[in-house]
Amino acid sequence: MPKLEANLQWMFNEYDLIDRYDAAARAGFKGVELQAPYSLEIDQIVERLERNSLKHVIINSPVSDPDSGINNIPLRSDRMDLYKERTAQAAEYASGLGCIGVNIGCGPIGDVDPDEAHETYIANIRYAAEEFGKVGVIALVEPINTRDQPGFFVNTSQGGLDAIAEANHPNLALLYDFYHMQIMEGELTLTVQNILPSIKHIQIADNPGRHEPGTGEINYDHILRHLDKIGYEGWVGCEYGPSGNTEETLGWASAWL
Amino acid sequence: MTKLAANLSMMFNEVDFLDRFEAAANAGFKGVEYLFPYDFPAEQIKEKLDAHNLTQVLFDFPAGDWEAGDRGCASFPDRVGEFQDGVGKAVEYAKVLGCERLTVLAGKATSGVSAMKMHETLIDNLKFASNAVAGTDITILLEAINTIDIPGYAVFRTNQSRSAVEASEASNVKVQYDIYHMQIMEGDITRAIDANMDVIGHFQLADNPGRHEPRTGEINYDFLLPYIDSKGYDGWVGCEYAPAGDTVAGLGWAAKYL
Repeated sequence: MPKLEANLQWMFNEYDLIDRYDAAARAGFKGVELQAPYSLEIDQIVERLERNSLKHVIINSPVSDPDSGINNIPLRSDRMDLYKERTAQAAEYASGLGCIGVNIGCGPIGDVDPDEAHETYIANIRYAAEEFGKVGVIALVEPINTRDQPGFFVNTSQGGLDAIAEANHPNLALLYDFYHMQIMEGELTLTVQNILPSIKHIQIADNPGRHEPGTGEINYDHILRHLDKIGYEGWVGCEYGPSGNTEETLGWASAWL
Repeated sequence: MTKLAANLSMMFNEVDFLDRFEAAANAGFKGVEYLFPYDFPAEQIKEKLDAHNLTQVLFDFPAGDWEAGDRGCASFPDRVGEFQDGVGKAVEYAKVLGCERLTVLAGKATSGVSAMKMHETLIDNLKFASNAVAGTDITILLEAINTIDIPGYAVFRTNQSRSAVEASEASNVKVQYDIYHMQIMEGDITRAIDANMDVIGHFQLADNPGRHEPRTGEINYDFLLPYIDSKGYDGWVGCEYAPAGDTVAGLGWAAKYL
């Protein structure tokens, strides 16, 4: 049975950030994820996790450039020291919250030279893999679609696997987001089946619109059952913008919560 | 309202080809399509269509030696004569059967012919077919096909079929958009339909993986078919799938349209 978890950046926006933990638990979720927990204190979040018996599955490394505002410091050779600082911050949160993994970031290439971006990115994800490994947290590489984020550097499942292979660190794994990959390549079921050993986290949303399953072209009743059938034992993060009120648009998930 | 056509090459294989017309009509279909009519006299098929009040929606131009592995001959400079003969034959059948859509199969890439030369030949052949049906109600269609099922197939992405159709500069040449093939090759189906509705003359469907009926795979046809309808498409949608089991038992997904 798929273990659904709620993305608190995208869902439960009817509530203040800290109160979304309670709301997700009330809706039946046993796990949550949140890209940016950094405006909250670790202890403050842990208290909510314990109160609600919630698993904090993943967070993201904060990779926004302080000057440009672009989330691409993993690609910039002049920001490698900053990426190390941010990795340390993410490791502290991920460890404190008991996360299974951290999305270690990538970003749009912007005006960075492609060769420089490539070399820097590979070195950075190898570094992140080592650092997160020290606190027992998996370093996750997520390909993202270039329609929503033009120029995103790693934007196909093969591109993610190639980067992981090149960095060659045992603590690196793929975060496969069905929404992003439906936009970029299609062929969802067989791709996931073929690369399952490399996948340590999954995210979902329907397409187009990035709303809840049932609002678009992807048949998630099939996908979720298939994940079970092929033996995926990890979490499935609901990273979508509800088409209406979050609780009222959870009908699709009632069989799983 | 979505108009579904039964594909008699893949559906109703429980009975012989000529008996599939009756089976499709009994299941509620008002239209049929299939690969080729050429094994039978046109008049014999016409009788079946009339007896069961069915519209002949589409079939394909002769596609070379199917048994030997041909999947069309429209891209080969040394087989233009064969393609042109096939156009004549197909149009004769189409006139008898009242068929308004004929599909061009591009063929598999072969060594010795450049992709550019194949593309040019394909465009010339589309123009020839277009001229051959000028003044009739027949539309010429070009379909992109996935290269997992047919390795080497020359036209395998939506923008390839679109660019060839546009290069033919003929209003009676359009794209046949097969949702199954394009889910395998590119995904982002809804947006591709939006972007190409102006040149799409026919749809086909099957779920993926497996090429079985809707609801057996990753494509949400309960969303896509009403969506296509909402864009003002008033043509047919061909059910080109291999039923997972008995054809009629697997038609639950289509009940609201039949």
